[in-house]
Amino acid sequence: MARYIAKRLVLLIIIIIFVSVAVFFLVHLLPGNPAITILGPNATPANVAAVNHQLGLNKPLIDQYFIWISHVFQGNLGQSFTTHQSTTTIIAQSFPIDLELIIFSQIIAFAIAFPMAMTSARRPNKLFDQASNGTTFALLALPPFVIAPVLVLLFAVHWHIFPGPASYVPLTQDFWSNIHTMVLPSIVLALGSIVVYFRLLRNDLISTLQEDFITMARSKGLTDRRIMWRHALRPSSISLLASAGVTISSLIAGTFIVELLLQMPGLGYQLISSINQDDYLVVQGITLFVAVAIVLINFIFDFLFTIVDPRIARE
Amino acid sequence: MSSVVTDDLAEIKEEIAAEEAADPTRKKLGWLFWVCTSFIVLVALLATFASLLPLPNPDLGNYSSVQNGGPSWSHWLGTDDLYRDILSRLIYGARISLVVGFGGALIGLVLGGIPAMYSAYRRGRVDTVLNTTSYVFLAFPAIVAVIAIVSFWGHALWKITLIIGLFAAPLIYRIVRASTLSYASRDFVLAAKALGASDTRILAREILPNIMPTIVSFGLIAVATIIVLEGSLAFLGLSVEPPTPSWGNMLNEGASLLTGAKGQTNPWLVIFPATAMFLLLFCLNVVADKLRAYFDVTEIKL
Amino acid sequence: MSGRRLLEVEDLNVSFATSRGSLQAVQGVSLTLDQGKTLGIVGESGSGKTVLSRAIMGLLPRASTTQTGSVRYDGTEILNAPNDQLRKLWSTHIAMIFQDPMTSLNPVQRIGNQITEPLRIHLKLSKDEAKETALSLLMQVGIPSPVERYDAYPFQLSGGMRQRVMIAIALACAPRLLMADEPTTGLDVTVQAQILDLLGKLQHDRDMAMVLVTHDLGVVATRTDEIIVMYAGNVVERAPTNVLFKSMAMPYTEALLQSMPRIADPSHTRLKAIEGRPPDLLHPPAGCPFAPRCPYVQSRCWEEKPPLVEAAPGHSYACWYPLTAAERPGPASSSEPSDSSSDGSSSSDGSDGTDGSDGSAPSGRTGQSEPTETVQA
Repeated sequence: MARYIAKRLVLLIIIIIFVSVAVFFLVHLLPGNPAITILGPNATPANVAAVNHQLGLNKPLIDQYFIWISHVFQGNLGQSFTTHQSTTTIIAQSFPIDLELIIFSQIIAFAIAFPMAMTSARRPNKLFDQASNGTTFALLALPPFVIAPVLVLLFAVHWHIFPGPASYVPLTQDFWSNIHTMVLPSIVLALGSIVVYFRLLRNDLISTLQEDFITMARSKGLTDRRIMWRHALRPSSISLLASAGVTISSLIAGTFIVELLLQMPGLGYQLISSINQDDYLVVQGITLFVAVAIVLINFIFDFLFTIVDPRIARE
Repeated sequence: MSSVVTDDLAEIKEEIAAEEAADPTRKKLGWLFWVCTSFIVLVALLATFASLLPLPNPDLGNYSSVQNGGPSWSHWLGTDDLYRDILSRLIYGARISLVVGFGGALIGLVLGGIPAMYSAYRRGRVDTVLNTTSYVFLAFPAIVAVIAIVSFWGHALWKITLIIGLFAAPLIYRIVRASTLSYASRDFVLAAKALGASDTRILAREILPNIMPTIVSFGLIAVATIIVLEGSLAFLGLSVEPPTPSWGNMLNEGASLLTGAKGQTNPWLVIFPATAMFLLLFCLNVVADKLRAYFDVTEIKL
Repeated sequence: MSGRRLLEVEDLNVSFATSRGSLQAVQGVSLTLDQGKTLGIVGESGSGKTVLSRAIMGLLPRASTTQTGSVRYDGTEILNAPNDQLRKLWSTHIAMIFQDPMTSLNPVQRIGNQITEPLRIHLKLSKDEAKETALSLLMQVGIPSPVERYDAYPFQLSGGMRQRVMIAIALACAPRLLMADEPTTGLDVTVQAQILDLLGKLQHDRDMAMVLVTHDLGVVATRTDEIIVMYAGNVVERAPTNVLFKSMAMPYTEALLQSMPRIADPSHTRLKAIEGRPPDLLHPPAGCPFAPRCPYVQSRCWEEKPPLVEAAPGHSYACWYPLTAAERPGPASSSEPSDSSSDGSSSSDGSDGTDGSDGSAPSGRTGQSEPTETVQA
């Protein structure tokens, strides 16, 4: 177990270093001059040199990286050129929105995918299973940027059931209004997760239910419900957890899209506006934050693995 | 734990399964496969020969027609807020999805697939290094990286295709490596080796034909995934620059009209690109899925 | 002094619906078992013995099987009984030990939970009572330091320990009938004997009836009161254990006996495998199902299927030409007649109707010598 954790930790550190280098060089090696961005196209060379000096952009790239990373460790991700807010403030203000979206959507996805997969797996290839399989296969072809505008068109513009774009209310301001604005984007995000969870869980449940230990559990005189919940579900959720990495990446892409569409000031919305304003320090900061968050979430799921199936840590 | 004698039931089931597998008449691709293949081919043909079709200019509106009009005889799928023909923009926009989708997958295959075949066949240190690298790359959130690169490097079609292809490579590497490994030590490969065939020849003549079904079916899934990624970028305004149409930026325009910010709404500008995208992705998934079932390609766990 | 009649099976038929037609896995099986007694069911893999034991339990999938006949437990009909009714019997009245303890224990649950589960559900014990009972059960099945093992996962135990845990689970609610399906197959020989002795002792202590399903006649020889020999879904011989070993009548029983190692044999004696394969149950042959593999086969065997007849009190067999006293490999007197020669290939005893045993198998399969069931230690 200790060996397993150590191995994972080493990989985690390598990946985080890699991510920070990648984010930094990605922003700095690409063409474009931040000084000109800040000063506008009519800047004089003297002004540009001054700004370059002020930002440390005249130093060698390697030095710049180490200066940047040491600032990062002090919690300083730089400042926006346009609003002069610090990047950490921007992240602190916008990240709760992403978090709320992700949590809501995952609650919805689990609440739908789990009962659906369990009902399907109980009678594979029967009517319910075929219907759910067909539906999720179709949903596979409906990524957020396709389904989100359609749902907004129907529920916000046409039927006025949910508020439309630019009506976001912070959780701290009005709880129920906030929930109301969260429903539509959460459903959009949930749809993609439902597909993944349903398909993985259904397939795993079907093969688990054919295992000897399920027959054994039946011979103990347990009810079908108990067998499903207590005996079949846990060994069947391995693939589900293993998929968490892919799921979390596409989930974040999804939150960016609904935030932009519904103009909710989350990380995605901030990232895209900073990109449009060439606010490179903010872009760099948000990118690093999101990338590290994804890597860390993957790492946490690796641990959940060993709790769900103690055999894994043993290798 | 195969030390135990086969259970009666299991043995019976296995025998039946083996007999069914040996009977080729049982396997069919089915009508849905052919419908979907035809649709993909149709979209590809329309996109390729768009300039030969009697379509209005997709980038320039005809100000004598209706603004944000619904479907009519002169504009089958209606017009957008700049008086442009939606059908024409859809057909030209398909070019973007198809070029990025198939082009990106192809780049991913070249960058990921070829090293994968060599490293799985030769093994050794190169294999270890490439294998670890692929894990590190896979842990890196591709969507964030692609957004960041595209936003600084630029939105040209070839750049987007290249970047997405690059980030598809590690995934394709893993798939191709796994399926090459399962053939690399088979008898027919060893026999070819004994006859003095070169590595390249063995890979091309003996192994490639066997892993082709896997490459094709997973390749199509990769195409669908890349099309989704490009669509998301376009929706975020990070793909090809307007006025060049792509399904993603059409959806973005349609969605921004929904907000009523410009004082008008045009549901058609959402409905048609969304339907086109859905159909293309659905057909790609169906074709990949049916091919996988037909060739008995087992799911590869990454 | 015979105890209560606990189990009564009459003319039980089980068929599976397959995509290639109906498969007769068990045909017209009848048997009885009294309280405190042990019944052995013996046969090769594919003989229907596992299907039979699961049909008696009621564990076969309803959707894909057809089960006719009658299975009565303590006078109550339980064949095709609703699951709710069976659930009340399972564990508290009838319990089962499965073939492979590796796959039959839930891999992600601590063994303590797996033992206390039926106790808490059926006997409504409190958490502490259940734990106490479970620990005493672990002790009874001979698990050292039960308190530590209680929190272990199955993968942390050896094969023999796992099988002991299975026995503890099966016995938890003190069933009156124990179905043991190949309880020792995956284990090495010394552990096999320990487990069987343990089962015998627990059975005796609790006055429990037991059905012991195995491919190994040696396992049942000293531990059963009656033996049923199955072949291709049919009972081909049935006799009290001592009678069977003294005067076995069916050539298949003899072949089974010869296919297992005996202490009396010199070491490195090659075992005599049964030639050929069991018949295709989708297309059963017209005559005796064992005919293609039988060394004594005669023309009548190919044409007519022999019925199961009671030739002596308690001893039935299905064979037109039962073994004579001279042909029998008696338990004490005869390590001689067939297989003591160390090359093991000279198979003929007396009448040797060689034409049947090899090439002319009706299924078209050549009679390739393959070990019927192998146990890897």
